[in-house]
Amino acid sequence: MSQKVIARVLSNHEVAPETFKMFLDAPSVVEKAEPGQFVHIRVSSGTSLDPFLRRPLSIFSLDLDEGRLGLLFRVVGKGTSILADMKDGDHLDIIGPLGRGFEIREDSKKIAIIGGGIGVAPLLELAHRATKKGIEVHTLIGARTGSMILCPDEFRTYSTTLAIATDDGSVGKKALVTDILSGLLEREKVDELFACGPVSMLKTVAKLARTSDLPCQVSLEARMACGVGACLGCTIKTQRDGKYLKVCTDGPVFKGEEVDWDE
Amino acid sequence: MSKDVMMELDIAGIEIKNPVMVASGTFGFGKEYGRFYDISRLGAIMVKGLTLKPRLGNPPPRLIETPAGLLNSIGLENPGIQGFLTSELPYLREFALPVIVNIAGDTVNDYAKMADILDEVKGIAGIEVNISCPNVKAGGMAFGAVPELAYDVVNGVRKATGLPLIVKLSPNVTDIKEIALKVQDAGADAISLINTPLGMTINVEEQRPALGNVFGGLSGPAIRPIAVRMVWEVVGVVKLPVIGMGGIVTPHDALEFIMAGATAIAVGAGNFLNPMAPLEIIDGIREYMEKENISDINELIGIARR
Ligand SMILES: Cc1cc2nc3c(=O)[nH]c(=O)nc-3n(C[C@H](O)[C@H](O)[C@H](O)COP(=O)(O)OP(=O)(O)OC[C@H]3O[C@@H](n4cnc5c(N)ncnc54)[C@H](O)[C@@H]3O)c2cc1C
Ligand SMILES: Cc1cc2nc3c(=O)[nH]c(=O)nc-3n(C[C@H](O)[C@H](O)[C@H](O)COP(=O)(O)O)c2cc1C
Ligand code: FES
Repeated sequence: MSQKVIARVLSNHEVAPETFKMFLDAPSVVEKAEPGQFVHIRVSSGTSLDPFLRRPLSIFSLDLDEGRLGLLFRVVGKGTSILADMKDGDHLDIIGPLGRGFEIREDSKKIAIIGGGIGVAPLLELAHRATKKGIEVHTLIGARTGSMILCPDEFRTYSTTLAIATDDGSVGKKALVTDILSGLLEREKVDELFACGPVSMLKTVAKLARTSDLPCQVSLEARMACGVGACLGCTIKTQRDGKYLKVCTDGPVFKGEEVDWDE
Repeated sequence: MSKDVMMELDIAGIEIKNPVMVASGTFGFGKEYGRFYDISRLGAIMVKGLTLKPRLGNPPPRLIETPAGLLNSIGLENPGIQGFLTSELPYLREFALPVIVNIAGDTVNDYAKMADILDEVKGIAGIEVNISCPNVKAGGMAFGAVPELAYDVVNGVRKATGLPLIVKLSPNVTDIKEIALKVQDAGADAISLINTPLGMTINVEEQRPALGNVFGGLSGPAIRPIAVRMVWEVVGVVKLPVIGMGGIVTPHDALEFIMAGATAIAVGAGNFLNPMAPLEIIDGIREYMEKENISDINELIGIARR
């Protein structure tokens, strides 16, 4: 019944500056996982207790036949540096799948997926599942510069249309991904929006969803300790009487209108 | 597994099958880790701290990792005592597991009221009184920091309940022995320690305190030597059994506390790193006893003092 498994690293490659794609052999996690869920990874090894806390990473891809779990992560500190150094054949202690993932409505025929920077990580498997269901997927990804546009080919495979935006215009349009989204919403009658990325981007997506009267789901981050809902450390403020929700078990995917964006 | 090793204990009138508990606030109300293993294998559960009325807790960020530990400023977010009794206790009653209810309050009256409510409830093995909270009437000074205030709380709770009473001490004091003795005088059945020492960190990039609440409680292996020292001191002066906690992650850590004189131990932040830690600790203590030919856990308690 334990959700804790020791997974073998199958491969780990730098796919963009300071950004790694890692595959793990983790059939028991893969068979239960949904897009938008995450795994909680121990980054200290052996008897070392440093770093003390696990690190949460979104599920990037799920290969059910091979039992293969994909992760996409950016190196920002100690924990992610340790992960970047992992090689084929190394082992990782992971807990998962955890949290509530994305849920596509039964009646959705056309969706828009919006990713900013490393925020694309939980969105690929969503696009994959949606495409498999015959849903039209319009994907918009943005980054500071072209080299930080992550995995465009994979996204193209699972998207009806793919739009790319960069701050410097080095690849795709020189625009904010949310500006492209406004244009898309004027042209296409999409049923739902899904987004992950910087908070400022998510806030704009949630606002656009509200003005267009569309349901919207966003994947949020918070610092975590337990990752399973036991410590109450990962809360975010909600619209419901200032109450807090836990990112690890109530999320990481939330409805756009649930979140208090002014916090 | 050897048939000879005895780990059962009676602590403050609570019968436990082994000395390994899980610490308040790190194990929710049991459900969360119930997905990892059968929680009835634990000695006892100390549930998240409860207050008379529900509390929202502190603004985020509430956590920050520190060397060999973490700072937290959860701020006692909890569903209130009634919320616990209706929504959480029924799940815990399904297990053959002693449930120790951790309570916190702003006034002596709050504590006493909660003890009074719990006194009537089936399926509760004991009360753990968290005296690290600020006393609202005494200008916010923590109950656990002043011997007389600590006495008043424990005395108030003692009058309200016949349940086994564990008092959880704050390490943020000059002389932990003095507080422990007062708590004993006031009628406690056991003492647990340590709660979290206060700490803070600055976010250098943003040039401001890292936690939303500025100060937080430090837990994890970073505090273990302080905790072991305080257990040693308290065991030296009181007659009551002591439950030791602070940075326990491995069987070796647990043995330190037991050898210092703790009758039982609790795993706190260690659960975050290794959800299986409590079970590994139970097995590890048993293995140690077998290896050392110790048949009864009581022989191990305080062995380093002899
Ligand atoms: C549910 C969830 C899913 C995530 N999925 C991914 C993913 O797929 N790919 C990915 O690259 N990252 C993801 N993250 C973020 C990732 O967990 C952090 O980048 C990682 O924990 C940083 O660890 P570190 O030791 O490298 O950095 P640290 O040394 O711990 O910190 C480096 C810097 O990052 C900041 N930081 C650390 N943790 C967080 C956090 N959780 N949120 C915001 N800031 C933080 C610190 O304040 C510091 O400035 C996710 C986070 C959550 C909560
Ligand atoms: C996230 C978190 C929440 C806690 N909440 C409580 C609480 O509600 N009541 C309480 O008495 N102690 C609380 N504690 C303190 C622990 O029970 C324990 O005394 C302390 O963390 C030291 O043990 P550790 O280092 O093993 O975690 C909390 C600790 C943590 C890390
Ligand atoms: S990380 Fe512990 S409750 Fe979310």
